[in-house]
Amino acid sequence: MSPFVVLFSRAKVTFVFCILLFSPPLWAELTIEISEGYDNAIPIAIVPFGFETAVLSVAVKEGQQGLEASKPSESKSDKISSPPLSQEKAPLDLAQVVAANLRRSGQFKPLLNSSMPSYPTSIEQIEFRQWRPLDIDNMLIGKLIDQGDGFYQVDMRFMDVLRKRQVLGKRWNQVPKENLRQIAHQISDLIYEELTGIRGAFNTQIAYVTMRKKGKKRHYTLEVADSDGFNAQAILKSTQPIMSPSWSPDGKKLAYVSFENGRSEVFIQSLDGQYRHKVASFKGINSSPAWSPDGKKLALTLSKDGSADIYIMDVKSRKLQRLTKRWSIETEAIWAPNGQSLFFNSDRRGQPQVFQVFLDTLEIRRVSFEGRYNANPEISPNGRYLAMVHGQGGFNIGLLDLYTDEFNVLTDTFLDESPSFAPNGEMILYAMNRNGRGQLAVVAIDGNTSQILRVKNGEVREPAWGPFLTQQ
Amino acid sequence: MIGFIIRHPIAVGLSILLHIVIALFMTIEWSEPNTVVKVSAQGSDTIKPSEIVDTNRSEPLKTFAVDASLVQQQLERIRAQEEARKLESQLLSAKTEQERKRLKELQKRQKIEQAKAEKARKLAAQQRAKTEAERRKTALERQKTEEAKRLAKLEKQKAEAEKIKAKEAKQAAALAEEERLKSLEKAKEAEKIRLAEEQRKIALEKENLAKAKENEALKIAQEKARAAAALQRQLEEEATAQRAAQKRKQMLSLRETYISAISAKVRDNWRTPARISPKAQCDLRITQTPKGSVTSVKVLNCNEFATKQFKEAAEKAVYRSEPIPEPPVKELFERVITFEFKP
Repeated sequence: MSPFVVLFSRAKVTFVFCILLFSPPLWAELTIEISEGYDNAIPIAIVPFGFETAVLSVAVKEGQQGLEASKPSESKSDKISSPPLSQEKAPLDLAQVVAANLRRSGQFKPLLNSSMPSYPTSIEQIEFRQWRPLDIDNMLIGKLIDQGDGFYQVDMRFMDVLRKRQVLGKRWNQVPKENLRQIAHQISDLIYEELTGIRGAFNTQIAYVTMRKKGKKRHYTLEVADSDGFNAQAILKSTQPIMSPSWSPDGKKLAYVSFENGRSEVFIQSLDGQYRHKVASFKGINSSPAWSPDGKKLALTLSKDGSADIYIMDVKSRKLQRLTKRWSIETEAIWAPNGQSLFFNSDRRGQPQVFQVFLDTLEIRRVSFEGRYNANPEISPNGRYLAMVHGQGGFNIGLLDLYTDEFNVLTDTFLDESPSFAPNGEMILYAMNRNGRGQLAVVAIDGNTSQILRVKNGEVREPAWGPFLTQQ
Repeated sequence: MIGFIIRHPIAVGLSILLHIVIALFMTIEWSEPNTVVKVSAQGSDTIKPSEIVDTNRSEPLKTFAVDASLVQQQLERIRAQEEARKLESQLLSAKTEQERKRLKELQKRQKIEQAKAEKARKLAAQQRAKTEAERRKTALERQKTEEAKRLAKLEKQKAEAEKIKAKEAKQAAALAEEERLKSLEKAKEAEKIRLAEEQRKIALEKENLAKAKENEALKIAQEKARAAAALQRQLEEEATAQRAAQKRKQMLSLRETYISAISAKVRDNWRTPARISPKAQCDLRITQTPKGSVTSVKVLNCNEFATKQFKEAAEKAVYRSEPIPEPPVKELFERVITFEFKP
């Protein structure tokens, strides 16, 4: 996190918005709300999956999960046309997870269950005539079959309603109950890629830091959750601030800054709980860890030699290489996807701007020129876009196209910071302030859609979007 | 005397002339004492000025003053000279008379001699002519004889040849006659045939001519009819073509409207969640039923900006456009329609 932003945000957290009423917070779960979608979102039918044990087949009711319903009409609709329920309920409404994912992308408008003329679960059951007036092009149908012992079979078929044919079909066998949500995310990814040509990033995780106040104490938790905010798991709890989580490229480790010992220190922790290493505890500042693309090095900001400068640490040997030597503050380094240069933030020109340092020559060049304040850079996985905190009147997320030098401000939220690209490069997750509380938000790189992720009883900051969980 | 004059006119004439000349010479005063009169030796009575040789011509006349005594002297001298000349003249006339007499005599002798010579010459010539005639006569005689001989021989040969010739001629004549008769016969026959043929030909020609005339007339009539028909047809065709062109034009414009209506409907139904390049473009080939239901859509000739998602979305847009707009006129309906699609 940028020291400038921290100072700035701390001074101005006094706005209170009373637009929406929230129910009293019971537990800390990320809630995602879509604040803006595409005007021309595509209608799509995600038909509730059939659930079978032995010969019985039912479609499960939607809205069973802890996601807060963002549209009241949706919950009302369930009463009207819920398919008959079997006594045994499905462990997860996969269709609902998929529909929520697609809706969250802003590019799709899943049909309400109540609007569906029927709930087919196999191709033979589809009466295309019935669906044509609904102005949908595609439909997802599927089945969840209880295989016993907590294992399930998932069948999905993605149909072209217009051409009356199957576009995609896939079966997963022996899926443990706890992995069903991941299957739903995979289905979402498949549909998304089929229709947009871009790999979906639903089956990914995000890391973030929540802060709750209990009495006078603040409780900080480093958490990892699915991209839809579900399955949140605490990685580290502390009464001292935790900052700057960074995903290792393999998605198995996190590097972060913890003040648990009263000063900033950098740790590496494996997500399976196997180990936790303190890798930087030098005199002065130890901050902004960033993994190199090959996962062997960490870029760090250290002030052990005077002012804050950029260093590279070999993770195995802990050997350090100093990249910058300036009286000014150099911090928040990130690696270019090819691993040959780093982008960082420096106030060597008086105001913070983004610079690039090339590892072979240590040559440094300025990258950002738009406005007086550009900090906290983050590069897109394809290396084309540089997201940064852009200060001009307020602090928003700006996007610099490194191919064309075109610069756009993407957000209109308040005190935006810590941008982080989705692994498909289509979305940026970032922290912002709303109602005086830190919340997370997602914005598409074309600025067309955004969503807000929040915890009900606390604040959430320092987001980091993890890599793809499966290889393609 | 007169007899003498008559007998010798030339000599008398000459003597008169001589007298006149002499008299002239005696009357003319010669200023130049050195001048010599040249007398023609040939007895010519005319003096040609060109024959007078003026020896002092080259010296120009000079005038100078002389005194009277000198003139007297000169006159004295001239008178003496005159006297001398008179004397000389008398002498000369005597001499001339003598010469004339001598000349007369000479002429007389010459004449006699001439007559004698002439006589002898004539005689000789007569003799020579006589001899020549004699010789010629003999030669002619001989030639005549030889000629007679040769002629006789020739006559003989001629008679012989004539005889053979006559014989041959006789034979040939017989043969020729025969031949001639034959050929005459033949010719007669041929002539007959030819005549017949000619007649036939003439008849045929006549017939043909008549036919040709008839044909020609028919042809002309037909041609006229045909031309009229062709003209009529052409006019009709032109009118039809014009109408067809107009109709075609109208239809083309209507067809354009029809296809734009389809294209517009497809564009209206275009939607995709995918990020599409504004440059993307494809041809869409729609196969439809008369009621406007889509039986198939083919996405063709896409440019490099058209992704899989673009093609899919284009195809879907066509299906969403069902029913495909009807044509403005029924005959414009096309089961297969292809148009360029650019959302």
